Amino acid sequence: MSLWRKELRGLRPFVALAIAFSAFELLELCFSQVDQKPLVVTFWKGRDAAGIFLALLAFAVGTGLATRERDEGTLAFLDGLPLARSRVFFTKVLVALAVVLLYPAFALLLSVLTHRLSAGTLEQALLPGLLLESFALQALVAFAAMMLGASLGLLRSLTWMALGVLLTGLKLLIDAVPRAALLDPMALLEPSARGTTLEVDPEGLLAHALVGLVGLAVAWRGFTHEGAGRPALPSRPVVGALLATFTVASLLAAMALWVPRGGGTPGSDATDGPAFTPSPPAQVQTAHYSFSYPALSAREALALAAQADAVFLEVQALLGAPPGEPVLVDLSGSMANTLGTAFPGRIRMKLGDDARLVLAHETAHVIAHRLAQAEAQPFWDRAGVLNEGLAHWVGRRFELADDDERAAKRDDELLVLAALQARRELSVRKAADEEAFARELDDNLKYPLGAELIASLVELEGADAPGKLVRAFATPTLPLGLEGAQLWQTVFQVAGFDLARVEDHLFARVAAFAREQQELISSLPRPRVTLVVADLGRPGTVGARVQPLELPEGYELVLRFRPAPDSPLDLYDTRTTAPELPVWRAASRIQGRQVCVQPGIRTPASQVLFERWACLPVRDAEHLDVYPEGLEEDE
Amino acid sequence: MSLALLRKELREHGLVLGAVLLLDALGLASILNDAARHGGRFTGLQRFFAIFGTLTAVVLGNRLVVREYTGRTQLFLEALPLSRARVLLTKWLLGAFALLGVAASAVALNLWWQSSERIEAIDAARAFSRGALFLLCVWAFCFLAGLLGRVRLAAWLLVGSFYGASNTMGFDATRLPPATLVGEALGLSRAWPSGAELATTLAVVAVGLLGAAALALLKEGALAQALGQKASSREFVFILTSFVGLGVLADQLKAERKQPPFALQGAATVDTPLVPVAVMPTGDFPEEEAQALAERLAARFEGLGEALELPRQSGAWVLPQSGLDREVTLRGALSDSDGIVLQANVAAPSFEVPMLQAEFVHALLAEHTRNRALREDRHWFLDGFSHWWVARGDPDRLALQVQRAAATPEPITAAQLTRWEETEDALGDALSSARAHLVLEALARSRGEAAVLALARSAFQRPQGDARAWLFDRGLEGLLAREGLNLVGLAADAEALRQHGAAEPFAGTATLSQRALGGRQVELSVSLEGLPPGAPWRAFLLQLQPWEGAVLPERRQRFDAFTPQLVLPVPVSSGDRVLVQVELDDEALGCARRVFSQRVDIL
Repeated sequence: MSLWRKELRGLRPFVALAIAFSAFELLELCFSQVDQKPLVVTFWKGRDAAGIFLALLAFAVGTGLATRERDEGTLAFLDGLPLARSRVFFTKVLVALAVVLLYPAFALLLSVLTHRLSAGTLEQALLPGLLLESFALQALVAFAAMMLGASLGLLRSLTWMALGVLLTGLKLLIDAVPRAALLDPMALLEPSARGTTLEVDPEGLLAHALVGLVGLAVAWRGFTHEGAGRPALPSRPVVGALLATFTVASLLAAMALWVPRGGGTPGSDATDGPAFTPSPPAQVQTAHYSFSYPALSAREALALAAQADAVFLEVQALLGAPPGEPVLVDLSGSMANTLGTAFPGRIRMKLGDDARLVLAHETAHVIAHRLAQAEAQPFWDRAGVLNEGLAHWVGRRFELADDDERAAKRDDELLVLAALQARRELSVRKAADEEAFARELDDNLKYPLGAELIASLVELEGADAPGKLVRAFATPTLPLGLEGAQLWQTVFQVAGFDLARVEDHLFARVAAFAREQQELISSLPRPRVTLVVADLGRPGTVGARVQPLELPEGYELVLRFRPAPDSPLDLYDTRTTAPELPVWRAASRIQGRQVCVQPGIRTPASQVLFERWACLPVRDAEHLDVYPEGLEEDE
Repeated sequence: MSLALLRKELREHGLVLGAVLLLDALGLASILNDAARHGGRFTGLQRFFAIFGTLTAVVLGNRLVVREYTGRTQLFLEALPLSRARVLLTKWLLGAFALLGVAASAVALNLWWQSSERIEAIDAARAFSRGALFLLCVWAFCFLAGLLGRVRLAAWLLVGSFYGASNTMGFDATRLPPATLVGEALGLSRAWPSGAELATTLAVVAVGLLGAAALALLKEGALAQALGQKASSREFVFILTSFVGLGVLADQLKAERKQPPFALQGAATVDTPLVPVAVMPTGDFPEEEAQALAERLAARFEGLGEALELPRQSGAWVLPQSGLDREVTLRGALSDSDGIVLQANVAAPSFEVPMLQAEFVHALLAEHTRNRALREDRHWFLDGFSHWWVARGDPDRLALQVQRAAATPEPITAAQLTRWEETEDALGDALSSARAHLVLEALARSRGEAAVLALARSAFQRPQGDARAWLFDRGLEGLLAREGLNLVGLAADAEALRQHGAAEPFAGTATLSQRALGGRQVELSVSLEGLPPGAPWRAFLLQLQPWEGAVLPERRQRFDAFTPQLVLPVPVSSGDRVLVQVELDDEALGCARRVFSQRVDIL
């Protein structure tokens, strides 16, 4: 007993610390509404910070366990007592553990008391087993941390540096081998819960117990064999400074690795606006679809689900396809700038006024993909204009607008095709090479062009022609490596169609429309671009601007840039501008001292009628003396 | 000042000082290179003085003071024919001039770096004066901290904690002198140091010098000598863990700060004596409709403040959100501002405005009572009062609420009111609050509206934000007793009112079944009999945490169905505790009808 008292006396600063923190806890309670603190709140609150503190305190207490008596010269007195060193050591361990656990025990007791005052009828059960389980986990982590401290404490002045190195190493190990996370004490201190139990990794328990026991053994041996001389480092100032530097560096490195970056809990970040609870997921199953959507926006989703099977059957009939597995539809949103995106057997789309149309469009993609599935080569995926055109053609049958609006929309879509044809820049064979098409023309034109092509096919070959064409893509005897116009030609041939005849029919349709709209087409402006340089006290800033012109109402002027003629498509960028308004180019985007730019006009149907590309040398640019106001700075 | 001592110090520390200056130069070059991309003529100096200037002061303090006292070499100096005061002053001035040199060099390097821009000499002088004053402050502290020897770590931690925790304590220390010296005013060099900044610098320098003199000169320097002894590892650990613990506690002891009211530009606003009401127009909800809604909402706040003696509140905001179901209202959590912000699909064709009004009254009163009105014994009163206040003088609304209250066969009882979490869990928000509404309506009919308001005034008094709220809380039953009322009688009166409702209770039955799959996995399925074929209904599922009581409806996962059988496509495991609820839309009641609610321990 006297040994216990002696040890307690030795740990007085830490007992005082535990009492101080307990007093703070009590004080905090007094400054809050004590009957508003059920365990469902208090049990989880601040566990991470409290866990770090507990582990750190235990480690700190542990560092002196095996060495302090020797360092302070009191070991000889203990040796003079009729007590084995082992008994002294284990008493030290037990007392220290009890001191470290004083504060967590008090905090647990307080949370039980406040729960009693706060709980409603649905949450009255105290679940003492779970509370004890949690306390036992804290005790285990404290034991492991303390024994680690006790064993590393044998290194004396290297103790904290060793801790930093160990923590850094552990984090790197966890990143490389995730299973090593079982050594992470926070995983035990912040367990998840299922029902009325804590989810604890048994391997984690074992690992911490092992760390504790190994540390105990090392520290015990260190304590019982103390006296053979203290392994001291030279006490030169340089060594001391180096030691301090390395200790701080190792601890900072560990902290940098362990403290999560970007800080803060998701949803609780300091934002200017209010944060609303995100909607949980909801699901509904129909005969041909499985929809998932935000639970708080279910009405629109259910309205779509109610008519979804009819949509599926109509698309299926248009393409002559078997039913197949239900299509998974995620209604939570789509990729940027799209209303929907189709994947094999799966659709992502936004809810909105056009939801039925979008569903039909994307369902056409999914069904076409199933029909055209060829194991050897994904030929269908290489026919992007046909793929999108088919879906667009299907989608047109689900448009909700009345006939006039529908016709006007179709006219808008055809207008750019007609203008391109009038300029002799439209070619179906060019459309077969999707990348080349997107380099020269607006990528969005693939929808109306493909849809017109399918419509021409149906007019010439009958209603079942689209299904036949798509199935032909799955023909196993198609030569490997077919691409572009050659692929189209071959597939049309396999399906029993003549691509040239379909193309002629398409051009005849577009030409007929062009004749009707001749006046409008000929009045469309043809933008021209020049370069300007503004000297602003640093190397000239280069901009491109369109010469003055009159734009019809509802039209916009755009400039598309690429660093060089052979730049990949993802380096293209398109900016909306106005006549004479320069679009500045960052120096990093200019390659070979020339600016490659393609002017165009965007129609009300959001399709762009581009002019031809031009690469303009910077040296020929017009110099501006004054930086014009109100211009966009290109980043 | 002693030149001989100066030479000794330079000989002893010259190498280290040179290395630090080299490090400063490299750091400044890196900072200036980075600052050139972000603009601002002196923005680089802000970071340089704050980081590298402080670092240099720390190193100087360590070399000139700490090393001398912890190494006990000051005893040699004391043996020389130099007074302690002279030694102290020489060291202090050496450090101060070295730092002033650093400040001047940094400003000069900054000018050279930006030689392409024209910078006025007065701007450079302003930047230098700010940097120099800041470094003098830091040096005064470093010098004093150096003489504190073994407890200097605590001094540094104290200063660090002050800056770190200042935000928590309700003010930003970086907006106070001396930190402002290297703030935005330095970056733009737009002002000489202010009077407050000068005074603070002088005060810090004076305190630092006097403190240092006290430590080094009193009792022949015994204090500094005693403190200069090496700290034991236990002292070091104790200081460190104390500060970590204090940091943890400070994080939890966040002061209740007065926040600015939430505000957005362009909202349609109507002011009332109790609270300004604002509705944000959107593409789906144009300005004139927003204005009309704001006026409708504001009309229901008229008189509430006077009736309940409520102080003026920050603001009541509606942010329209298309796509949300019409019965959904979400409360936004505000981090930096104050007010009640609700999100709802107010543009939906059959959106229920009284529901939104009641939500606002509910939120205002909950906020005013520091959420004590949400305690289970009185939550029914808050729910009932919110709806009662909104429906006053609106017989159609009252009739609808009577129908809703009558939609389930169970009578209104006192136990149902006191066990309100269970009642809400079983009936859902709309049907349970209709019952609470009837209790208030019955009370108003029997005792008059004044009695309801008197009771509400007592029940919704703003409590203290500490333990006194609990100590002096009489509970709702105590307040009722004071007014000569009791819950049993109130419930009976409300039940009599409910009997006027003619809503048909749901005739079908819902059943939940569990089926063991492999391992510990269990499949849950719900069947609902008694619905016409193809009629939609839905099941909700929530994995409950330990001790989880009342749950927010918007946390539940939802599964819709058009057939009587529904297998919940989310696997649960034995040991889980889940909440399963079943609801269907009732067009006549204009709300969801909950027909099943069960908390299940999966076996």
